[in-house]
Amino acid sequence: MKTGIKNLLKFLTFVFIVCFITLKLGDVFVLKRDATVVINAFHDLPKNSIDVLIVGNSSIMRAVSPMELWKSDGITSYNYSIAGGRIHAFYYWIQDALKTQKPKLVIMDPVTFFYEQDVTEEARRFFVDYIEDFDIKFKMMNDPIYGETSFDKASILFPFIRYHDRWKEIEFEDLENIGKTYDCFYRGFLFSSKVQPNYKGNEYMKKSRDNVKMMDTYKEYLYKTIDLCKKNDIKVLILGVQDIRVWGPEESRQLNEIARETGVDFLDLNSIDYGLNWLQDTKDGGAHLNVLGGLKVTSYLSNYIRNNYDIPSRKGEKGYEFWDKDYLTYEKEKETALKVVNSRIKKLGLDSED
Amino acid sequence: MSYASLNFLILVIVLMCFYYVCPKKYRWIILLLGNIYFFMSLSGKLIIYSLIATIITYALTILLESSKKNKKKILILNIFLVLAFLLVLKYDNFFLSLLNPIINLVGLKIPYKKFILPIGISYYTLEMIAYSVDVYRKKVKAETNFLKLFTFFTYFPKLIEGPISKYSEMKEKMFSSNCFDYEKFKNAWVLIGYGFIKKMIIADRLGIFVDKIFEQNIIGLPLILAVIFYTIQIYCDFSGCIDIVSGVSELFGINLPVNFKRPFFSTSIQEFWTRWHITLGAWLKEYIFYPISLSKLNMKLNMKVRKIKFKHLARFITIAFPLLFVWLVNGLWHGASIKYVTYGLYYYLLMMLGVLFKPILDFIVKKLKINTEVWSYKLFKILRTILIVCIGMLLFRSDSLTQFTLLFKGLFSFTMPKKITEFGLVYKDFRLVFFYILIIFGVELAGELKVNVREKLNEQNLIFRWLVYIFIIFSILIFGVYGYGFDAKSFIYGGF
Repeated sequence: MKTGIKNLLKFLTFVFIVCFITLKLGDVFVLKRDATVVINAFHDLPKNSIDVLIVGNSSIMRAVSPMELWKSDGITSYNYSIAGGRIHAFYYWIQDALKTQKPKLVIMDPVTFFYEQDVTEEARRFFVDYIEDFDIKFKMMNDPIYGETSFDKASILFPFIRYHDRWKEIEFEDLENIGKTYDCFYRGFLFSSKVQPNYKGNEYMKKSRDNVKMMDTYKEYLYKTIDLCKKNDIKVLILGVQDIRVWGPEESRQLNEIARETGVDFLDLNSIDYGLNWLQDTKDGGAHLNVLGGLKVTSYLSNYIRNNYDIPSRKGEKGYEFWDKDYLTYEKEKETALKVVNSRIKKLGLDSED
Repeated sequence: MSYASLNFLILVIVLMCFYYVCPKKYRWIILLLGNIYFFMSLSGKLIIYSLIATIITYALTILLESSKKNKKKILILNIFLVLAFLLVLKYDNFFLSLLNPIINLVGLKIPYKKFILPIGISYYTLEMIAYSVDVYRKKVKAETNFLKLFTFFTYFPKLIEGPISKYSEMKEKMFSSNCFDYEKFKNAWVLIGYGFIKKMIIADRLGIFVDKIFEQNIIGLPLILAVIFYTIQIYCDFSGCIDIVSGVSELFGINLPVNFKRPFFSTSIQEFWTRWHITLGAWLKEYIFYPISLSKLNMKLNMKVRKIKFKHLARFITIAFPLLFVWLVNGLWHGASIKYVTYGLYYYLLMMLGVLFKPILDFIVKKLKINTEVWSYKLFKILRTILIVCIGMLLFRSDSLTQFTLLFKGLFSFTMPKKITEFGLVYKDFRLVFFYILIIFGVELAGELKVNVREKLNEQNLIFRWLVYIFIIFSILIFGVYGYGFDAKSFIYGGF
């Protein structure tokens, strides 16, 4: 009996060591992207220090700058967005955020709500890889969207097995990623200093596309996400940011209906004139905004939040001093990006048409 | 569900838990349930074929045992019925392709039909034949518990790739009460890990290169490499699978028969086939070679050839006749095509030539005063055997005899590729494969020197042992060919 218990303990210790190494190898093998810093740094923030959480994809991550909200209103916010993000991912990201934060407002990006196809497995992985909490990982494992096969399920717990074939690219420096602490002074806002004008302006909002319909799965997750926020006493604002490729009046109308039905706010910037310059403020002909467009959106959003929600200013509060410090770094980056974007506008001769 | 899959490992762990929790007397029932689940997850309703074949074997062997006069007839009926499934399901189109040109002359044609093969049919059919013959020969008593017989024939670790087992050798371990043994448990996982290294790091990686060469009919140096790689691939694939399933079976306290005994250390083709797929060779010897050797026809032939003056030639003829059937069956068992028949005959021809010219070769060796006891001569014989096996593997891997002819000529072409990395593997892959082949070679060499690596490992300190286990596990997890970006490769011998 004694030998049996001893063997069992030895076995369990060994299994624990193997699991621990497998987990830690995830830090080395998982692909390094923008989100690596953004999401990992989010997890490293002080507990309950974020009042506004922004979740979305490449549109909103270029449109809303948390540091501008801090500067103007002392609002602590974070742009927890990953390129291609879908509503089913938002559902889990918000849960992930709630493990360490208690936001009063969640801002959601609806750009991908009406997509007719879900993302590929490779892109879907982006949504899973940075989740740290095991409880949420288990939930994702049991969700057929993420845990389709037993391999998918196992790789949610141990992302390393999904990326193991990267061994050919791994350098010794990658080992430094184990247990690394991340810092994201820009709070998830992506500076883009590219300029590519959209000469058609907001024509996309004049004619609807055919057969606009939200996929049943997406609708289900939208309702689930709204419910999740309500249960946690969080206000929801769906913020439609410009994207001429996928948005139109019908999308706006249908989402408005859902917002009314569920009692959440919907602010569609596609239908509002807040000073966006289609020639200067987009990085790729209207699909995404550049830094100029982002600052305009954030400025409008700042007023909107001030007028509609009761979000406290944390300026001067103890424990928030690092926001001011980070703002200085952010400001320098912003200045550089603005210089580049303005020189590009000049070069392209777009300044005269302003 | 492949043996090299997460689902299979989960199934094994779950079954193992139930197995050792269950009262000893009923543990085999857990195996039976596991077999049914495994079979059905791969072949679904086709389990009915193995069920019917087992019912036939079960009923006829009991009848055979109790019968006094018609034993042989019952045995033949049993073999015929069991074999009929295999012949119809696997070989129908092959036989029709031979028959149709003949009956076409009188304006007839039987349409071709493709059947889906139940998993493991080539293996369990041979086991059923062996079992009924053994009952006939009174080597084993006819099993009166049908479920036990079904458990044996469909035993999930050996279902897809064997080893071809004998009921008489397995029944005691399978149906006696096996206790959990921590040492055996550890050893079993080491064997499983070793099998996974062979399969997932070496075989599947080399397979990427080999597939590209054979798909594009590349000739010259890349082809020579591909033939060598394929030989290593098929060995690591098949023996790796056997290691995995043997390890899995050991987890339940059941030892499967040995199927590989370091074949690339063989000094002759004859020896190679006593070390490669041993259980198939043993089956062919016991159930094809001996019955034909002892048949009336062969006896008559023996009597006639005894009159020949040259004793060596007489001996040659007496073994040539039964061996022809052995190699025909060997070739056909691998697949229903002329290519596989040729593959069998290739080895048959080489062996017969070896036997025929042995006196001449011995004479030359003697005249040239070649010392056959030195290691260099043994190495020469090993390399010669490997060369013969490699050419056999070229035939085995080719899609048809036409491709084989084309590629065989291509071996002597001196076309150089721009880069060897054009065929799916980069230099890091080659270095990695080389490293693990060296490890496999080391383990095999130790075996050849009668060193049991697993036992030696058990003698080491805990930290060293754990480091080895961790090395095995993370070798597979990091360097294994699996997951997205790779097509999950099934085991090559599972296709037979």
